[in-house]
Amino acid sequence: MITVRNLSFSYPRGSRVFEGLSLALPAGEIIGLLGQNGVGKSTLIKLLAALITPQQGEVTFNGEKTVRGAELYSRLMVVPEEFTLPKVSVESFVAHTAPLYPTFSREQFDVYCKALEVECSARFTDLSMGQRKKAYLAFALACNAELLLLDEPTNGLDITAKAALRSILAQYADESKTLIISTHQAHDIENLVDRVVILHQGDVLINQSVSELQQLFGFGITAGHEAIYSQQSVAGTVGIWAADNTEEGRFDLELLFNAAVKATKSVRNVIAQKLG
Amino acid sequence: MNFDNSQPIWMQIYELILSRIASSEWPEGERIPSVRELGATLVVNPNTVMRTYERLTEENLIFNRRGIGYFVAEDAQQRAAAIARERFITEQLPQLFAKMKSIGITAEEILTLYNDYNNENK
Repeated sequence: MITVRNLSFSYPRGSRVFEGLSLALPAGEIIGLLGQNGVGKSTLIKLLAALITPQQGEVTFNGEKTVRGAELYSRLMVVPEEFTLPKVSVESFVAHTAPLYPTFSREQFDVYCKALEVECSARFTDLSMGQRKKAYLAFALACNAELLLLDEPTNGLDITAKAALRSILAQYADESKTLIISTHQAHDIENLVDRVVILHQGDVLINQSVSELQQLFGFGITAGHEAIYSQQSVAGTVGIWAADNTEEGRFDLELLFNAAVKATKSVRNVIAQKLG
Repeated sequence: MNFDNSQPIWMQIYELILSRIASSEWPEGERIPSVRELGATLVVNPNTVMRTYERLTEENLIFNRRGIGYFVAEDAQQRAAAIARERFITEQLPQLFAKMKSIGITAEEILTLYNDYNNENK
C-alpha cells in the first residue's frame, strides 16, 4: 500500500504543482497514471520515489513513512522518461548495480534482454536513446522491486519492443509487487492496468479500479444513452455515460481520459453520486 | 490478439478459449497456460484472464489442480462446442441479421455465398 497524505510541492521559483494532494494505492496492482502535459505526473513519480522532497505532507510505503536512503532505494525502482547512464557497458553496469537490489534476478534479466533485443556488450553511450531505454528497462524489471515506477516507458521504443514490453509488464505485478506506469498512450495500457489514476488541475480526479470504473461508466456507441462526453469515430458517435447497472460493456481508457479532461464536472458528479 | 469494442475483454477471452476447447486445440485432460502466461500472450492483465478462468471453472469446462495449474475437463470438448454454438445463435446471428436487413441482403444470397465458400474451402 502506498499512501500520499496532504502533499504540497512546488519547484524552486516555480509555480505550485500540488497542494494538499492525497492518494491511496493498494499493493500488488498495475496502475496507469494519466494526465495532460505539465499536470505533474513525473513530479508525482519522483515524490513517490522520494527523489524529491515535498514542502508539506508525506508518502508512506507499506505503512512506513518513506525516508531517502539505501534501504528504501533497494525496494523501489524508477525508470524516468529521460536519464543519463555511465559510460560503461550494459553488462558492466548490471554487474556493479545489481548487488544493490537483493531481489534482482539474473535469469529474468537475460529473458528480458532477449525479449527486448538488448545488446548487453555495448556501452550505454554508444547506444541510441531507444536501445538505452530498453537496456535500463530490462535491468529495472529484473530488480523485482516492490514498487516499480515507469515514466513513459514506451516512448522511443520501436513497435516490436513496445509489444514485448507490454507482454512483460502484464506479468509484473503480484501480491508484493506494484507497478505504476505513467503514459499518454492510453491504448498501450488499457488492457494491462488494474487501476487508473487521472491527475487533473493539480489534483486526483480519478483513482479507481477498472472494475469500479466499469460499474460507474458505460463506454461505446452513445445511441440510447445520455452521454456526458462523446466524440466521432469510424464506428459512429462514441462516448461515455453514467452506467445503468445492467450489462457490463467494454472499458475505454481514451474515452475516459478525454471525458475527464473535457467534461470534468460531469465525471466528478457521476463518481460522487454513485460512490456517495 | 485484437479485441473488438463491444464486449468486455474477459468475455472475448472466454469465446477464444471456448473455440480452442471445442476444436481440441486445447485437448481434454491437458494442461492449459497459467493465468500469467495467457495474460502475457494476449497482453492483458492476469486478473482479466483469472476472471475468464473462474467462469470456465464454474461451468466445469476447466479445473484447477492446486499448485499445478488449470486443465481442460475430460468431457469439455462437446460441451464447449455446444456453448459456442448457442452463443453464436443468440449473440452473433442477430447482429448479422440486423446488418443484412439494413443493407438489403437476403437469406438466399447468403446461402449461395455460403455454398460458394464451402466449395472453395474444401
